[in-house]
Amino acid sequence: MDEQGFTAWAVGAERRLLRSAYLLTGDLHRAEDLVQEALVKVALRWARLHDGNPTAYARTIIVRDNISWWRRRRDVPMPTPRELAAVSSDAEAALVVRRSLDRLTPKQRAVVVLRHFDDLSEHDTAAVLGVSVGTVKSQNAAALARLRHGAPELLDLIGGPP
Amino acid sequence: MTELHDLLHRATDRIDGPDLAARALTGARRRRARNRGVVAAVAAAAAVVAVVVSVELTTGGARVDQPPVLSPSPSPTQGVATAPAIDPSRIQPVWDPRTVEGLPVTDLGVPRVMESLVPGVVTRPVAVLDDGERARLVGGDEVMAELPLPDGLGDRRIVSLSPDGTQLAAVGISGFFWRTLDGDWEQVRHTRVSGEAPQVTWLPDGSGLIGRDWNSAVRVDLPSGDVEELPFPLDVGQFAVGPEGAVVATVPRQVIEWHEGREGARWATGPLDGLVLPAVGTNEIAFARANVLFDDERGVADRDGLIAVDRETFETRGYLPVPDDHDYYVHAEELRPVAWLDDDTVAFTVLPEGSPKEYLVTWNVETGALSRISCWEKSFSAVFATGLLGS
Repeated sequence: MDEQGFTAWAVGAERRLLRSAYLLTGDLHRAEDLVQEALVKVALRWARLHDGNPTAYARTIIVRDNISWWRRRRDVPMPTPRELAAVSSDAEAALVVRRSLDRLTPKQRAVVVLRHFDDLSEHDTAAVLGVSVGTVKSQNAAALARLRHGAPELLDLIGGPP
Repeated sequence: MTELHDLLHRATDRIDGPDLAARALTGARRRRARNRGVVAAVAAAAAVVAVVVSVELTTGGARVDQPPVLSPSPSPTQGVATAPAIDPSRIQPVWDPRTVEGLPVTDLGVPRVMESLVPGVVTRPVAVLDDGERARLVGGDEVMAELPLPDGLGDRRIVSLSPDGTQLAAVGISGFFWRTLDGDWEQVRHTRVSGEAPQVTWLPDGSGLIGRDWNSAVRVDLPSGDVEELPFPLDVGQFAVGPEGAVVATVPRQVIEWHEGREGARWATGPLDGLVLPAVGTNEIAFARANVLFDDERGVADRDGLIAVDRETFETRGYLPVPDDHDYYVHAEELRPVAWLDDDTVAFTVLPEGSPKEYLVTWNVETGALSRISCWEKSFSAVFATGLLGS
């Protein structure tokens, strides 16, 4: 295996993947577990992936592995101020985002993170989630509507209706 | 949506990558080592290590003790056979688990709906339900009883019922415990197996069990409590014990079978792709199958599902594909072979996508016939006394 090549890719990708996984889960430890497992899977397939898009593959693993955890998870407790300070320089923003995303269904949350944090196209978001582009569009619209009505504090922070 | 984008970034701007790349490389090396059947700790010796598990076999009512042999076996020199491709005639129609409620119901002595159980005294448990907060013993007569557990196991614990329903085991953060149905919990001493990704598998005659966590495995003899550390290859994904005591384990792209301490067979899964979660019968093995060859044009067998293979030849006896558009059932381990009920029938659990309930279903691998046995709320994990199913 080309360990140097894998390491160079992983070092460059892991922070972004971890932040994305945190937004998906609201739990930094769980996010680390998800990213760790995804990186192992990428490493095992590096020979086939390195010429392609290993980040897209890792992102797919993270989102899909999260499905089974989501199903059985207990309510993840709201983070303490110290925990919020560990994830963001703006603790208020971190808390509002966390509360807002908790209002979404798992799939809506994934669509919001993939589209609006990872900047994936609708097509790429659909590929990660294994759904149609139409589903991504409808889930995104539903998610934003739910945020609009259920999380007005989010609108306050971003200065207008999303 | 630039503002939302900016806010999501601001809300996570202090998260840093704690060198996950190095840890991932270590993890990948371990799994590769498992794939080669090499215990990482003795890799320098280049010895192929076989897991040795002995069991007490019951023959004609007399117990024949086969003492554990736990030293590494000589290196197996036979080549690795590759499983043959699935014969198209063995591929059954795609079954959508979301239609499970429409299946005919078969009574195997397990309550059909676990939500309608009544509290009472359970004298003959057929299952254990556990949601991480409460564990319940379930009787075949629609009665359930709360099952007190040792303190401190945590919510990622494993609670397991022996095949004959007379013994219990529990593994979690506070340790590894067992008890008879009427006895008290006893801690298994001298073992490091605990709550990190635990797995517990009973030996078929209930004389002991194999406990495993992320970095160690032990065979526990019951009721003496004697513990043998097993030189278990670290990269074994899942394992199961066959009726005669052989251990069958999956590693990436391979399946290994050990008999009495020696590697008896090793198969490259080849065109069968990713085989996980084995359930071992006398002459057959069932797996959940993940179709991982994503760069090939999709063929008729290129779909996730349940597969039953012959133990000697690895020829496919039956293949039950399921929808895999979302990579849900096999990748999320929501499709799990449980046990063989006879030479043709395997019981499995499935959580249909979007369903609030998980199901126990039987599959006749020759005819493709499916039957619904039981269901329970998805927040519970269910473990069955497999020796009592249908008895």
